[in-house]
Amino acid sequence: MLDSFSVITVLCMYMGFLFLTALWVERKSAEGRSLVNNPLVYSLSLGIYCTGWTYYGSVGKAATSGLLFVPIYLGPTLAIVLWWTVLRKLVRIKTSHHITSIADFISARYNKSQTVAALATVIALIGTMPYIALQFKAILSTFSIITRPATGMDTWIAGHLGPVVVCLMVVFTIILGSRRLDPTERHPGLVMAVAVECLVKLFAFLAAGIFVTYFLFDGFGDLFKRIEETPPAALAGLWQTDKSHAVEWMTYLILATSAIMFLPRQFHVLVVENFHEKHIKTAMWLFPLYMLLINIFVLPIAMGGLLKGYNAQQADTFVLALPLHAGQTWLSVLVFLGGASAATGMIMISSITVATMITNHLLLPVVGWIKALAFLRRQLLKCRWVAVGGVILIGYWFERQVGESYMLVNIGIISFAAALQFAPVILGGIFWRRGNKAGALMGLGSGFLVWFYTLLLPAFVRSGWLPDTLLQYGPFGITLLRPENLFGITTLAPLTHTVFWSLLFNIGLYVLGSLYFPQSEEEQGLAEDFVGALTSSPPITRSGNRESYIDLAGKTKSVRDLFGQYFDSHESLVMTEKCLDLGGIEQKSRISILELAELHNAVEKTLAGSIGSAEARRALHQAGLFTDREAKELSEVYAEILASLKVTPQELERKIDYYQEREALLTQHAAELEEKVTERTRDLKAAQEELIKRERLSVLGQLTAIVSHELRNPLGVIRSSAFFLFRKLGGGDEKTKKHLQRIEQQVGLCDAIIGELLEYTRGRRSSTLPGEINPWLEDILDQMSTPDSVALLRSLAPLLPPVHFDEEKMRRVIINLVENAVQAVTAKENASGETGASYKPSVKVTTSIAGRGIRIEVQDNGVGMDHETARHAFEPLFTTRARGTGLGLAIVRKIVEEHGGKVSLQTESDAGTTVAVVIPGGSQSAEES
Amino acid sequence: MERLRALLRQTEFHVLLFFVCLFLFGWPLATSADLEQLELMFVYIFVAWTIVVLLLFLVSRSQKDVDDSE
Repeated sequence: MLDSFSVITVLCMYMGFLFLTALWVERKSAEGRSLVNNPLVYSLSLGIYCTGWTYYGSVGKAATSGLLFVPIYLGPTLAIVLWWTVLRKLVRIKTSHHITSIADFISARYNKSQTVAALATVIALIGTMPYIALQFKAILSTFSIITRPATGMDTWIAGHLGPVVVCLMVVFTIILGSRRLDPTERHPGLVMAVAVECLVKLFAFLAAGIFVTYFLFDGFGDLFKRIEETPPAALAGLWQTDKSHAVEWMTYLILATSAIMFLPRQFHVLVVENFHEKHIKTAMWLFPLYMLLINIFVLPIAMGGLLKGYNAQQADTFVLALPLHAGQTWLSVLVFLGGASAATGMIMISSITVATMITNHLLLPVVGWIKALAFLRRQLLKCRWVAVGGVILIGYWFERQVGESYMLVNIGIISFAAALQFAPVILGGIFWRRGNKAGALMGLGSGFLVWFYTLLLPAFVRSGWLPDTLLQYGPFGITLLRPENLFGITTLAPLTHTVFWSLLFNIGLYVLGSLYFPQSEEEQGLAEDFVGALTSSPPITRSGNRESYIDLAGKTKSVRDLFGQYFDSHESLVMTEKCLDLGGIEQKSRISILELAELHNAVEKTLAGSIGSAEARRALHQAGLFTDREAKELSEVYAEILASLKVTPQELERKIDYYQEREALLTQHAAELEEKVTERTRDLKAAQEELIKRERLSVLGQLTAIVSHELRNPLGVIRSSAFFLFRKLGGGDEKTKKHLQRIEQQVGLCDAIIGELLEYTRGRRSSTLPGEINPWLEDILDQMSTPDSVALLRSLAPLLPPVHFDEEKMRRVIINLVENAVQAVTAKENASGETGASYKPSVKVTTSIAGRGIRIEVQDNGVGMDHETARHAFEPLFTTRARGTGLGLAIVRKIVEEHGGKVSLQTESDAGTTVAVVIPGGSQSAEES
Repeated sequence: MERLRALLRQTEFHVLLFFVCLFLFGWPLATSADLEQLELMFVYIFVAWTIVVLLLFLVSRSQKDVDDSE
């Protein structure tokens, strides 16, 4: 076991890693390179379905009910079979209607009704709370298992773990999920963090499973053999075989089939966070594969725990307890992190989803009714932060209150049953044209009430909040209304009982309400739009024949005022301009009725992305963008269009379908094309910048080469004249001799500088041949003369593979590096001499294998460099020496890069420097050259 | 091969596959799960599940052409 402090430190470091990953992804997205726009990330993020419940609770379920945990994952596999039709439709509708949540989706279909949205929000909120509570329970209970009994500082951590985790979750969620109001409600950073978490939890669970199955036991066969040999009394009641088992199996299957799409968080990652329909294709097989893998060791772990003599009632923690008690501390920490990943991912996405629904569908309508709260519209973001915090806190509070009454799996299933209530209205909404608002309200409302009464209320009773008599005798002693035996049905298990009655009421009243109450014209249009989503897109009604008489300035002001109710003035202005741009009227002063309709459409869509379609519609209605005259004229336009077509209604429908289909395809292609153009433009820009840079360097190089060449001639004359004078005055006085030697030295220095400049700017391209490095290197080092006090060491690895290199050019590299090293150690030696400190200068040249290539290192224990010097060391003309050219390392890098290799530098001030050169392996090198 | 692809990409085939899966993972299976057959049931479920995943892979690959043509 570990102490609490270590575990919380590891957890914080892990969360920090996720946080940095998410921020990096967000930054990339802001630069236009979305890493989340990827089918693998999309598929992995769907793994959020496997929460703390899967991670710990499935083993618990397997230990008490055998294979009954499996339908929770078989159900989603069933649903996935139909994704290409169902999910693709949902995604297409989301894109065209700017849907931000499951409540928004239902509301958008049913006449953009605020009442429907509010009801769906309440269901999502109440249904999500138990599930968030479940995640807190998973983190807190496993923390207490993995840590040893607390003392000192640990006591404080153990006692405050809950609040610490709550704070972490709130901060993390707000920063990554609610930092700003995004019209698309997409959170690339958060989605990437969730995808990474899903990968970690899969890896951790598989590691635990392999350890239990193959290290604690001798594989699957051994486990099954032992469990069959165990006397039944020892496992009595663990594997249920009665008839209710079959009914329960089917109940779980139905619940899970709907939960994979209609749990609010699943809807969010599946539909709202979807970047492209084609990502569904990968998710269709990768996500079921993920579920299969994460479940394959559930039963072995459960059997392993039972065979080791653990209590089946504590089986939720087998996956952690088995490695821990076997002394595998770090495996246990990995398992704990996997469990924490499963739990935190769910908490973050769920809280964001529910908070968005609360602000858009509960708060904003209330603000609309109570004028005194109108200022809150401008504080939408802060309201959302409060909602996120509230949702997480209530989840934690629920865990404290009711958590001890149930095992994990029982809590999770309450949420599944709540999500089931969304299934009829959503599926009905996208496949049944006659489904309407009244039916949706009746179905959703009744289903929710039955769920609350038959499943959640008994949970409260078991937590001691309500008297037991309610379950035993019903309210007011009416036994027919007992929550778990509604209308006298006593043969069904509580869960099956809830599913049966809630679905019966939900579907029944949805159909009945839809058939009994008429649809409005607008609702019919929406129904048509939703049902035909895969073959249609919003109609185009532009016509150039209408008179432009409407004053655009007035309309612009109305639109800006409308945005101003929810956003600050700058954002309002930007959004207004965007809408004008979308309507193609930004340059006009007067517009036609058709253009006004376009503007209206653009404003509604933009607003819906931030506050939901129902609130957007209400706000637009209140803003009164159309006057009575304009509304009348718009109706006339539609009537004219219909009259002029002269076709039968069926033919008209077919034609509209055909053109809308074409429009949808064109829009999609245009978007893809635009994406490609942006990408190519970016690449082109980068290439152009590189070309300009090279051209400049080339011109500079030519100039330098000419000047250098011209300087060499006079230098030669000076040198020969000095030589002549030296010969002539050979026996002259000491002073003259000294000055002549100085001329000779300075001319030599100038010549070296010119040589290096020419090498850098005009040097011939490398011409590589295969060869052995060690003998060549030995030869160079033998020829080099270094001061006697400096030890030139060599450590050359034997049996190095041959590489392609230009012997002459690379010779320059080695000489430059060794000379630099010698100068560094000499400088330090001189300094040591002044202070009297003991110092032994040494330069070491090492060779070793690096992948398919060879690494040459020149290491010294000289003066080293500070950070700033090291940063500029390879830049041309940068030097810290009084007489250096500043080209030595620049030439090294140039030559090494010509070989397709890499050069790196490690240094520490006053400790020494190591420069490493990597020359790639034979074939690669040859290709490069 | 093209015929097989055409089959796999049809919505009607998906519906059929849905009901086949419902049969594989549903009622008959649920009534026969007990302790004596635990190992057999375990093997059956995971083998069947793997086959369904494989089929889903083929279904998703068959959609490629449709999508590309779009």
